[in-house]
Amino acid sequence: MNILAYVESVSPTTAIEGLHYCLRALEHAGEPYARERDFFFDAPSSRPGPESRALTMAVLSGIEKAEQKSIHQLDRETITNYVCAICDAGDALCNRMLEFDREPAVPVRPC
Amino acid sequence: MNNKSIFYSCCTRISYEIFQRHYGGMHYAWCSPCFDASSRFSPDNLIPPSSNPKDIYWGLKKDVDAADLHSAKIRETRLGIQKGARLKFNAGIIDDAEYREILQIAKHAQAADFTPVLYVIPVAPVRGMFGLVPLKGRASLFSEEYIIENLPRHRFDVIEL
Repeated sequence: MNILAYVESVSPTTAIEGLHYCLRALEHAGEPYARERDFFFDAPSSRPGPESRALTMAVLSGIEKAEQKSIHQLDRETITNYVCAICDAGDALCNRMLEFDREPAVPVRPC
Repeated sequence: MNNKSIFYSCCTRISYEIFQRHYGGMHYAWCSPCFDASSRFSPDNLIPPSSNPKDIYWGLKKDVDAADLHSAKIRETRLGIQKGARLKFNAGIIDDAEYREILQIAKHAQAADFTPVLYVIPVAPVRGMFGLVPLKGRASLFSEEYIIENLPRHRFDVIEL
C-alpha cells in the first residue's frame, strides 16, 4: 500500500498531522476499548481539522481494505510494517518541506 | 481525582529540550497517578501498558539502547514532534524559522536523543492545570489519565532511570 499516494493531495502539514493520528490508532489497535477510543484526542485545545481527520480515516480504511480485516485484528508485525510505511511517508514529506527552504549556497569569494 | 500527590509522565530528551528552548519552557504532559499501574503497590488503577509510564519508559529505553533508529516508537516520536511544532506555529508560539529548525532537529536526531525521561509532578502546585482525559480518550474505562497542556518547568522534576 502506497501511503504517500494518500497524502499527495493535501498540504504537507495536514498530511503530517493525519499520519500522526494514524500512528496513534495503530499503536492502540487491538487493545480493549480501542474501537471506541477517540484517538484524535490530544488535549482540549488541540483538535485536528477536518482535512486531517479525513486523511487519517482514509489511510486506516485503505489498510483495512488491503488486509481484508479491521486494524484491531491485525497482528503486531503487520502493524509495525504499516507504522514504518507511515513514518517513511512522514519523513518524505518533511524532507520536501525543508527542501523548499534550502539556504542558498555560500558565495565563493573571487580570487 | 484520586488522592495521589505525585503524578508521572514519560517524555524524551529531545522533546524536553524543544519544550525548553522553543516553547518557552512550557511542557505538555499526559500523566498518570502512578509510575507502574501493574505494581502491587498501585492496586486501584487500570492503566493498560500502552499508557503506563513504566512500560512506555522501558520500551523506549530498550530501542534507544539498541540504537534502533527504525524503532516504531522512535519514529512515532519523531513524527509527533513535527506535528506538535506545527501546532505551536499555528498558535503563534514559534515563527517560521523556528518551525523549520524543529523539523530539522527532528530529522537529524539520533537514537540517543530519544532517550526517555520521566516527569515527576507534584500535584498540589499544579492542581488547577490538570484536565481529566475524557472517557473516549482514555486507554481503558477506569484508567485515570490527565493532561497538562502548559506545565512550567519549575513545577516538576525530571529524572532518568
